[in-house]
Amino acid sequence: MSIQIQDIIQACKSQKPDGQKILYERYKDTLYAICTRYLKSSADAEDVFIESFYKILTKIDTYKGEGNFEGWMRRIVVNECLMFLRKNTNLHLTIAIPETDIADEINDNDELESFEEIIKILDELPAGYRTVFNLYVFEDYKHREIADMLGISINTSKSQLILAKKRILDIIKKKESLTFPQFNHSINNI
Amino acid sequence: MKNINDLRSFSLKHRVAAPENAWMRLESKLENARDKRKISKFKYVSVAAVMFAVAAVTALLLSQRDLISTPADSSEMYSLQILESDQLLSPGIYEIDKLRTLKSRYDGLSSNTKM
Repeated sequence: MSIQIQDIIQACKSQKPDGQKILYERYKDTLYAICTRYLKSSADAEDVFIESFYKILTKIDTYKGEGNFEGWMRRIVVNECLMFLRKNTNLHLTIAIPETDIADEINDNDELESFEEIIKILDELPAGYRTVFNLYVFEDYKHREIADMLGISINTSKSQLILAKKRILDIIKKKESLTFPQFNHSINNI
Repeated sequence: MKNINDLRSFSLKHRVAAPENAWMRLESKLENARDKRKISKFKYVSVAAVMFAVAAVTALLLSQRDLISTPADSSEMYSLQILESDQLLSPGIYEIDKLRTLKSRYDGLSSNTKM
């Protein structure tokens, strides 16, 4: 019989080691996945993951039961990743495309590659592109929220997303041309 | 090919196996925090105990001082002082009677020499 999440939360609020271990076992892979999406190095991802979980377990008193508990934990992990990136990486979040171009470029119904493919490609993107792409596409933050979180303008956030999408498509095209050179050649000739 | 909404729902199911030693690291971090909390509790208790001891000693000293200088004691000391000053004014120092006798004899002597 699986233990109810409310009971686990209560045990963690009482600082019971057993409850902490159960919570860890239940969410470790989900939360570690977030860290690996934001941070290239697995050592950095592990450090941030541990720091995030430590914060979750020590600040669990501040969770008042409002909203989804997993969502609350995800926010802590994302914030820790952003803090780490701000401290240790130059995000290069300065490029801004004129507003008129942005309106034409952004479309949430744009078709992208499969999830696994994109996760692999994310590692090849610069930290700034990867961060904005993660926040917008996977965490469902709005550009205004991303701008606040990263201390950039809304325009810059939009630009970073467009450039990230372009770079992803470029990488996919490059990979396809390497896999099916004849197919690509024929497409270019059409 | 997927659109952004599909990717979002995939990301919620995305899992990567966490490193095996991560729990050990986290556990030791939590234990350190527990120890620190215990130490800080002990610090508060010991500071409170020291403050209580200082207050108790101060109160004891003050009560003893009050006992030494009660109004009854001070009046006794006062009366002793008055007694002493009375003794100082006694004829032992001044011997007025003797002086008077000496003066009268001197007067008598001077009247004898005039004759």
